[in-house]
Amino acid sequence: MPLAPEHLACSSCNASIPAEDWNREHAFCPTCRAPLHVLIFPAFFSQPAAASTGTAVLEAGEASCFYHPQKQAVVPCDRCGRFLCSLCQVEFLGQNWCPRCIQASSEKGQLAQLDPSRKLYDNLVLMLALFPALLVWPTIITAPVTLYLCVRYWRAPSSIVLRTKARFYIAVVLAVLQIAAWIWLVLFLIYRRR
Amino acid sequence: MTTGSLYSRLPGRSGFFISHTLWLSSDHVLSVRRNPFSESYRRYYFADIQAIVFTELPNLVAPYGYTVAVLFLVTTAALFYTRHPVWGIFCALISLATFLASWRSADCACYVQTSVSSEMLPSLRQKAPAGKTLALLKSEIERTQGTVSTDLLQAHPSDARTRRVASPKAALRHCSGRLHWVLFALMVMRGVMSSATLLGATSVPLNFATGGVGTVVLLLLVLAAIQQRNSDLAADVRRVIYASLVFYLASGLGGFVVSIYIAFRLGPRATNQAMLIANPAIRAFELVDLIGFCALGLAGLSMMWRHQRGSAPPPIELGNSG
Repeated sequence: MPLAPEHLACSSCNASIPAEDWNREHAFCPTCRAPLHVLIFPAFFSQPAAASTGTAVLEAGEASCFYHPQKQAVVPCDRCGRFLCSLCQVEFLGQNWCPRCIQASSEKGQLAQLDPSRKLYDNLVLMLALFPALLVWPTIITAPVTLYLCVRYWRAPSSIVLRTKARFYIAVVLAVLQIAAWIWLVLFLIYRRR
Repeated sequence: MTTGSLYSRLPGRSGFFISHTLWLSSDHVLSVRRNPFSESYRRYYFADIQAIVFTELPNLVAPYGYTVAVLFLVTTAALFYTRHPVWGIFCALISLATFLASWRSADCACYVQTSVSSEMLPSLRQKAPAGKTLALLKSEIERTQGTVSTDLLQAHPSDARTRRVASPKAALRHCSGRLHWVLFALMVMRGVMSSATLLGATSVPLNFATGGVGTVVLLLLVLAAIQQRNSDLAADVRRVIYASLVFYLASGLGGFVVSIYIAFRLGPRATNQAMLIANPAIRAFELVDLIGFCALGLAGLSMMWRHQRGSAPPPIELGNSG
């Protein structure tokens, strides 16, 4: 069912936008007169397809779904090869996947297309290399930690949009410099005492 | 698996520490919300997008932002004139930051609607980049879905021309008013401190205390204004809070104008404390401050007392069987 026109509302006053103003340039909100532009696409008018729950197995020996043995198999999973009924069949990336393969791949972080969030370890290590350096003395702890985190998360999945490893490189250089400075300071104090 | 090369950046960006951007893929548009340590994603597939609503909004923030930027610029000039270059540079940076923030403030809003959701695209909050992005999105969506025919549009019922989407009215919250009591008392105290300055009893600790109390009053005023919204607090008390906020801002602005006037009038001699206190402009300003804070504080206290006496439950009378 297409949504009622009330759902297309002006962001300024929340009044509904009449159908005459849809897909029309230089339209105005009928209530607050705010200039607006409503782009309507065919999906707005299309009826959602009814979900299939699968067909029951009628004859003995007929291929059945791996997850629902009472349902008729319609397609194999392109990842694991298990037979799937139309309820379990998920069209994903132009292939037929079973829900378990999608879940497993998503949990392993192999499917960037499904990730709802990502940690930015490169930003974390860069901040850990930069901010403690303002107070100097915390770097005796944070520099080795930064280096460890760089090694630990170097291959961790980063942002799914364009992002280089530049922050990691800068953090490594800064951490190494900080460690070198501390080593130099310790050696300097030792040799000066002798 | 990294798919960085799958996405291309679309115009538009909002926020600084928490930023929003839009990225275009072959079959969907990705909304990225980035904070310093993580990113979260929302995907809108071209086949699912039903509508995009773009509304131009009046930019209410920018004029105030530009005004504040200009005020800071004037302060910068005054500070350089009175030979305080470090503070001058500090003020110039604030002025620049305020100007940039005002320049990038929102003047439009975009919503994308699918069959299950209607969500704002926070990165599209400025007209120019939003226009470019919407043109790109429109062509991509129409490549996937096709275009809407005029017949289909005309066949759609349009009886909702004047209907409004009514939001349910929220019930009033109970507000104990403790914050308001403290605030009004502090306002009276702030006024009394101004009177000490006016009588010539100035010292560094007193100045610090006056500044501290003033800051606490401002913070409490903002908190009280937030707390009293949709609350059962008396309308008079709420009006006093709003009036106090306006007075505080006016007092700040007045103090600023007086400082600039004195800075340009006295030049480098403006650092002389005794000369400053004796200045009639400063004395007039302190007097207005004293009267304003004391009057508003006392009015607030009396209204709070009236409100609490009026809304107090009747005393429980214990029945005497004798």
